[in-house]
Amino acid sequence: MLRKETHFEICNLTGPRLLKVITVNEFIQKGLAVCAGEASFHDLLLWLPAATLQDDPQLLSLPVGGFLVPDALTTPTQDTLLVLHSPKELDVVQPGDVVALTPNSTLVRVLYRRGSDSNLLFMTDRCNSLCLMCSQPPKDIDDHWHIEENLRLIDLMDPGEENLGISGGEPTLYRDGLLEILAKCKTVLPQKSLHVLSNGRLLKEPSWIEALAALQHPQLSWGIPLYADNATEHDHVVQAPGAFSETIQGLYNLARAKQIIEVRVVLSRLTTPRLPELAHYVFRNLPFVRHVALMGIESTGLARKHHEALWIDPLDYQEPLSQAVYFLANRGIPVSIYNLPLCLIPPHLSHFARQSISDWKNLFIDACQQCAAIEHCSGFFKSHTDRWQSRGIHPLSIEAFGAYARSAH
Amino acid sequence: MKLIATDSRTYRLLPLRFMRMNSKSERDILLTSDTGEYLHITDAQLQALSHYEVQPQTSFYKDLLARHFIYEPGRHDPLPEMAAQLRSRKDFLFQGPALHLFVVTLRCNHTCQYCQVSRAPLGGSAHDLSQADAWAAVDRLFESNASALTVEFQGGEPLLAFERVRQIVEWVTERNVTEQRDIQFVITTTLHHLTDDILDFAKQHRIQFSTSLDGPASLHNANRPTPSRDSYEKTVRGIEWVREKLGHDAVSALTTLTARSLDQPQAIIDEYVSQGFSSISLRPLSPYGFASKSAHRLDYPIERYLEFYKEALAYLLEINKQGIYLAESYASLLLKNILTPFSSGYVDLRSPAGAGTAALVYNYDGHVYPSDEARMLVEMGENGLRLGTVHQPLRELLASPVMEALLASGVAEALPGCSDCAMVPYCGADPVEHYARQGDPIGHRAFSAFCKKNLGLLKHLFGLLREGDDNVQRVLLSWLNRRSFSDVLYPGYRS
Amino acid sequence: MPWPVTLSLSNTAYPLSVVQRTVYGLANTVAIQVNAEPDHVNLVIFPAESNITLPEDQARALVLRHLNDFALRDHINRETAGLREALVRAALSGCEIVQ
Repeated sequence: MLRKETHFEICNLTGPRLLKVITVNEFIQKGLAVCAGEASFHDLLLWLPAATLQDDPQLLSLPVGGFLVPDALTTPTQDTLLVLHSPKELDVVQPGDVVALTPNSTLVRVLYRRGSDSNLLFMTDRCNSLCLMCSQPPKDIDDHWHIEENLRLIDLMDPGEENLGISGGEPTLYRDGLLEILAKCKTVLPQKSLHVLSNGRLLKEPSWIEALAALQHPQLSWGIPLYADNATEHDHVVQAPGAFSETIQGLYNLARAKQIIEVRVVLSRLTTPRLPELAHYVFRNLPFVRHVALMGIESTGLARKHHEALWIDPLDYQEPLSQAVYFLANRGIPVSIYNLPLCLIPPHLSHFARQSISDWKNLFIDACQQCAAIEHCSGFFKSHTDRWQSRGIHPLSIEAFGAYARSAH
Repeated sequence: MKLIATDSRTYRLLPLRFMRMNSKSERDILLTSDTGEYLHITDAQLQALSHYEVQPQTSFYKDLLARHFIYEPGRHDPLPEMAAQLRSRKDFLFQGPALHLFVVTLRCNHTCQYCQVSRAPLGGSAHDLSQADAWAAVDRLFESNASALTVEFQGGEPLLAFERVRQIVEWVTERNVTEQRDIQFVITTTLHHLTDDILDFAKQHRIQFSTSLDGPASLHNANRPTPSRDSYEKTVRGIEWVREKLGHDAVSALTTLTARSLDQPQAIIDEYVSQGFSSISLRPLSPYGFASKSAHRLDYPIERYLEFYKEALAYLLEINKQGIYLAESYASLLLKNILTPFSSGYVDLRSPAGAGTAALVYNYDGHVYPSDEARMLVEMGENGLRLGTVHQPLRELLASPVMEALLASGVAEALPGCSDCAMVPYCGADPVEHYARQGDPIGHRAFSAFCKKNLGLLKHLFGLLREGDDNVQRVLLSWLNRRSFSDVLYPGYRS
Repeated sequence: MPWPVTLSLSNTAYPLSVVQRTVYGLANTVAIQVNAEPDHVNLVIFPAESNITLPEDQARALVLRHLNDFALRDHINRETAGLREALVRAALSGCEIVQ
């Protein structure tokens, strides 16, 4: 698991900065083309290992925004130069990453990580729901500034193909900012496929239809949670009366705007008993859904307070999970199981399992070290604790893992 | 006796229909919604439901709510998703006729006992579609706004008038350069008059062939006599020839079931397996043309057909479980109606009826009919269902008094017997068949062979879906989605 | 009870439309003569054809069951009056959802 922030010694930081980390070689070969959009040399943070700096101290005269030494600093530098050195953890910041610096803080946040499959544009900490298992408890603050930061971040990312998430909190709370960001992604990052995570409730407003249809983004999809086939149970999970109705309306508006839609379900004691019925509801009422994601629960944030209501050992919901998965798969709706260790998924469901926990969130426990499936397994969330641990966790032998591999096709 | 000061009911009813299935199950009542969703319930549950006694926290209550049999006033309004489902089920209404049949000739070399059209001598063109009429028909075709069009050539034997077929295909193809529709050509033929020339042309235009194969040689030849008494052999040779030049799936086959056929379900199916077909259509005889004249010899009570069908279906299920994919096409479309929110699109099982709205027939004499069956009635001296001529614009043909009469009797949800029937979301109306059999397009449902057939098949399929074991479910699902039995690993949730 | 089977029904519990639907639906099995009186309706039930082998007691049970089912349908239709029309109107105009 690789964290998204660490501490550096920082010299001469005069204001908040968003900087692209770039090696000398990349600087020479690509220059500003390393960034997808508009950038100047001033946005670059040159990656200078201490040995390189010692051999070529004149590199410090390059007209970049700053320098990053991923070691201890042994060469003296000028008073005016922005220099980061002596990182607390070595691998957190790497060339190609985009980092955010704040004055009077040694914290360096990685907003974009080259080569990661889980980069995202964070829109807001605000949310209009309060899900019992919310892993990112909302804050009631004005954080519009994320929009500007994201617009800037888009320019500094690598231009190539990758998945980019857009989430929060609830991204649609900043409607104009979200639309602006989506439009800018289409222009500046046309090769990236975007996936917006939203509860869909505000999308019940019909004006979204035209706005989204006009975007015509080539690879944009929406991940919308639905927790039950009835309002009472769904509204209880998200702790918001009327949410079910709003989300269903939002889903229909997304379909009218010809958007690609994924329905997500967090698997808990509240959602697994009627999971097959929910699958039936999705197929009958939302047949345009392109994918259904069934997700193991993350035991962080508000989920910890609601452990008793939410926790169910995955071994105890294998039957409804299987029924729901095959109901959908047999009718041509793609299904995936996320965030469950492979040892808890019966072999006949293993080919629906995806290795899915973001690289900065996952870990393996002691029992996993001897497991033959470790390379293919999503492991656990870093927030994992004993009371969220299934009695079924066990390392898979090579033979047992072979059974999984054989059942995949 | 309750004095109701405030309404303490937690739910209200949504429009629903029910039917007793006369099965051995306790949950003998089939409940269906206008959306086509369904639930099997007990008699006691039906009473409780109707009298507002179902308790809110039960899974029965939640099922009723989710499947749109009840709603909670002041809480979630289910109308948007119900409307979406109904619209999806009826989405064929939003486009014009998609199936256009061109009867290019009545000439034929067979003398099938059940033939529905008169047979004209092989020589002479008195019974051929004229060039002027064919040209006008192509205009009519493109006046439909359907984005996907099927152009089907019928007869007699269409290959005996192949030059006209060629002309029509070329005209349609040329026009389609600007029209940009998705066009499929089909020729319904005995395959006895194929030539390399014909097959080369078919390959160039990706024309599909549809032929009659009634069963093994003895049965097929008995049903379909020709002077040389080798209809089966020639048909099989034709099938091989088409496959050789155009690919395995370029030809499909249909059976017509005579009383003789009903004795041999397994033999017919075995024949289709050995000929390598993936689909078989076990449709009963229609009351048209020669079939009606020979009714006393050929016809059979619909109950006998249903017995045959159940036996054939059981045999098909066994074969499929062994890994041989052979789907019964009518069952497949009924399953689509039952298990999905989509319409199967089948012209003969729709409400509003498909006659004229889904299909048009351009007859060899330049007259236009709303269905193939309607034109066959002409051969019984009954031209009352003629819409007009090919030289009249489509708008005029579809506004004719005949169309009005068909539509007035073609909405099943409004017909006596059908309007209360729980199967109406999965069934259809057939005013032409009722007109042919009973002399009246509305018909009397208690005496309707169309009703008995569909009700018999639907009840049987519902029984299989509820009582059948996992392997039966897997076969039926494999037919629904056209995948192999082995691809449907588990049946999954059974609703 | 020998043929014909007779039934005398309250016409509040079994309005004429319910009787009518029953008669229609069973027409291939039994022929029913309906005599409407001020507060009740009399049914006289015969086999529909001479070759029908239905015993009289089963005919009575069959007719009663159909009457009760249609009465229930009548109740349901009254409880849901107007909803079907609203649904069809909503479905067939301007949903604009493309698969």
